[in-house]
Amino acid sequence: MLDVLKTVLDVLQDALMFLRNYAFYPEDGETFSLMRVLSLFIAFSISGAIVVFLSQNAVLKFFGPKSKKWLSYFVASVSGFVLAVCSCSVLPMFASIRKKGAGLGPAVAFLFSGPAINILAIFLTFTDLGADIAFVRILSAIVLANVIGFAMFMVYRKSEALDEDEQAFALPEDASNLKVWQRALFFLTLLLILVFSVYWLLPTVIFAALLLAQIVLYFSLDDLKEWGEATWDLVKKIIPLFLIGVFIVGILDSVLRDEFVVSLVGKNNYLTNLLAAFFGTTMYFATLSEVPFLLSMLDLGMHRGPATALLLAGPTLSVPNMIVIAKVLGKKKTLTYVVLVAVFAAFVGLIAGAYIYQG
Amino acid sequence: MNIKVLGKGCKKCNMLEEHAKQAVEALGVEATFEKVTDINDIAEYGVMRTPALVVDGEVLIAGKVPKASKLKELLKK
Repeated sequence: MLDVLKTVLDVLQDALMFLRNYAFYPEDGETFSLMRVLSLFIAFSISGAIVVFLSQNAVLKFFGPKSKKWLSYFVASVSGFVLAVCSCSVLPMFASIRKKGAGLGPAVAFLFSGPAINILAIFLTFTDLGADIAFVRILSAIVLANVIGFAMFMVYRKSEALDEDEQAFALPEDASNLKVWQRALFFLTLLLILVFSVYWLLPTVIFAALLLAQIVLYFSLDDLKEWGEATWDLVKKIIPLFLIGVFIVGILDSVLRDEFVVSLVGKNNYLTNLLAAFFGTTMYFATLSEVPFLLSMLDLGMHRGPATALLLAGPTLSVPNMIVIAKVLGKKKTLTYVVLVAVFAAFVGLIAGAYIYQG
Repeated sequence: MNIKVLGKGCKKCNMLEEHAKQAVEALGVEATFEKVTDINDIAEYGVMRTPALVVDGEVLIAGKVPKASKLKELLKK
């Protein structure tokens, strides 16, 4: 009895250490990395800025029933950059665009890519899992959104019956007093700060000065306040669950044996990729927590092919998500969607594992 | 008036309801509050972004949580 208790305590202690190292000491477990916390903060600020300074409505209008279909697909597959931070906000949007006449294909493309390519997820993938996995994640999320959306459309093209309402997509542009070029310059500066903050301090400082100049010149106090509030809102919404997620990953990291992980997903083949993709479609990951999970799994010997499959299938789908999607699409279409996601995610994992990643 | 708060029960939805209640109280009008949480019902209103406020069947706010004072102005009309 005492032994069991001791083991449990050890595991919990390991998990806490994992959490601490993950958050503050990513390189060697000894040097406190202020830059990491800082760049995470910048990434959140960018997400907050997207919420405040970019017009979400401007994106949604491309989904109307009268929009050109190829344009709907394209916008849907990249809209994750602008629209979504977590699948919880993707689902209501998905339900509404679908109900009001967006084609099944673009709606599904949106559903898939929304949570996969937001700036926070990409940033974390880049810093934690490496540039190659990050690029594969972005590119294949965009391509797969189109492919899966179009496949859904082809399978169900006979059953397109909706209460079409072009009016619902004629949303007012969120007014911002900033001109387009001002906003473009602002986002460019923010992105440059984020990119350099990972590696190099000096340019970061220069761009930060540039950012400050822009803020002083163009921004009103209200703009700043809204930006701050939106950022803080996101932090509050995401960080607590994320930390719990990392803690749970820490427990797994402590309990799972290398041999076990290697025997399951250590190789890159059909089975391992399908297994990883299936796990990804069913498992619920708190926003962003798929990244530390994979970091730990890769460390324990998972191959990067199946890791990619899991990364593609993970954030978009989970069992609770499926239930909500089934309410909107019906059981049959939802099942088709889940199978398509699993199969294509596994396929990309297999290809990337065999041809793109070295070693 | 009839006020519906649309949203899947997130923090922001509760905040919006809270603000709306304050606004109604400040205006001193009679209002019934309802919560709409079913995703299909929300979609029926054509609301793309939650939380949203529907007043007497009309979408007043979507995707934002305005302050109670601002809501008061909006509800006056």
